Amino acid sequence: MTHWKAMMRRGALILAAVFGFMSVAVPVAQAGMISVERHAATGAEAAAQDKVQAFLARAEVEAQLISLGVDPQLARERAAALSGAELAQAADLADRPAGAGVVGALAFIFVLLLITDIIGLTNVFTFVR
Amino acid sequence: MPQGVGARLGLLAAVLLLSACASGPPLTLPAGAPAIELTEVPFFPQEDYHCGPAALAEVLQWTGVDVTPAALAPRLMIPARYGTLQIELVAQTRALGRVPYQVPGDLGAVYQELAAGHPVLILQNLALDWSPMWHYAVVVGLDPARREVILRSGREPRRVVDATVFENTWARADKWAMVALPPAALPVTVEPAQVRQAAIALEQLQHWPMAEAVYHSAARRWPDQAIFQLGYANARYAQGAYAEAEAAYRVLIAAFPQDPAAYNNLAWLLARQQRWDEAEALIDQGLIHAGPLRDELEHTQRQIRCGRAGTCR
Repeated sequence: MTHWKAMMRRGALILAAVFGFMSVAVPVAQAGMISVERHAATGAEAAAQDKVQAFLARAEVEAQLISLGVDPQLARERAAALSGAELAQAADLADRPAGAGVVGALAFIFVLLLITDIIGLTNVFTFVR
Repeated sequence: MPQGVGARLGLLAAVLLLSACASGPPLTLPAGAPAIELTEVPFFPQEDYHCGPAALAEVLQWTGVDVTPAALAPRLMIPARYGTLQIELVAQTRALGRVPYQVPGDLGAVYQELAAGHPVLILQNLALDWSPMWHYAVVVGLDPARREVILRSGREPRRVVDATVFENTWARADKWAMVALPPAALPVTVEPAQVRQAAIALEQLQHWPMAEAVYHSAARRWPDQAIFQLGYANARYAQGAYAEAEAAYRVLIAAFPQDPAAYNNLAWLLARQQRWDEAEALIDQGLIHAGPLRDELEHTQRQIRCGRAGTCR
């Protein structure tokens, strides 16, 4: 049931993004101009293809951010701030967010990290050095 | 008790095996170079998990952006994951009017950036590959003689870390490092292709004045690369500065008479101003060198002709 709701929400988001995309489209002034991106690329179709994929990825990233607890309005703005290349990287947001996290509280890991700290392999405990 | 000793010996053996890898790649710290430290880089003590917002606020404030970690956090943190993604540090840097560049993953490059006054935001894995503890910090100093790296990190305004320890923790995060610079400034260690990518990202997001400044600086550093002059002229055109764009395209054509893009874009600009004769003459010239851009130039030629005749579409 919740899965179904999540899917509906995601679908609605993607639709909303489609309409948003259509109204923005490419500025008229840019039509016909050869961009740096086009000039540097080898295939003419590549750029157009990327645009469609980037926009689908943007909706997807936005939906993922919301599901990970980000405020929906901010999620939209955050997804909109990513370039095409970054969107491709963001496909899996589970990647590796950093924050000085707490390592699993297992005593084994504690002892191991203490020793690896001493030999300079890791740097978890400030008091070691 | 003997059992405990055995376990400890086993652990020691495991650690000794690990330490064989810990020597890692050779240090790339420049030998004999003087110590360097950007003491004026601001410091924000990190709240729980907020090393990303703190580190970014430090490098951004250094370049004159008035922003705090608290203001950045809602746009950087992912609540369910207690952290910040690298790509979002990059994206928010752009959103706040600074240009993000990745720096090569060696301390020699970091040293060069520091020498140019650019503090370097880095990602570390402080723990182990299979039990990671990701952490962002800002390198503000390097002391080659004492083999020390000086960081703004977590709650420590001046954390001094042994260079080998730093390299080990940094290597487990793929030696990711970035600088955030005002649009007219370029990193010392950057490659032309990277600058092009940074500028293209700015164009995609319609940050035209920033793109213009990046292209302008890149064209001065690499005058032999036509692409930067093209980008500069395009950015001016995109902002409606037609006279300035025209001047820039003419400079480009004079310097690179074989480059078809400048002919195409200038012809298009002239056609918008209904200067049909000049536009047609230019596109004819451009078609001589059209190469892989022939389709685009022929399209422009058709548009000029139908525009002139008032028969487009």
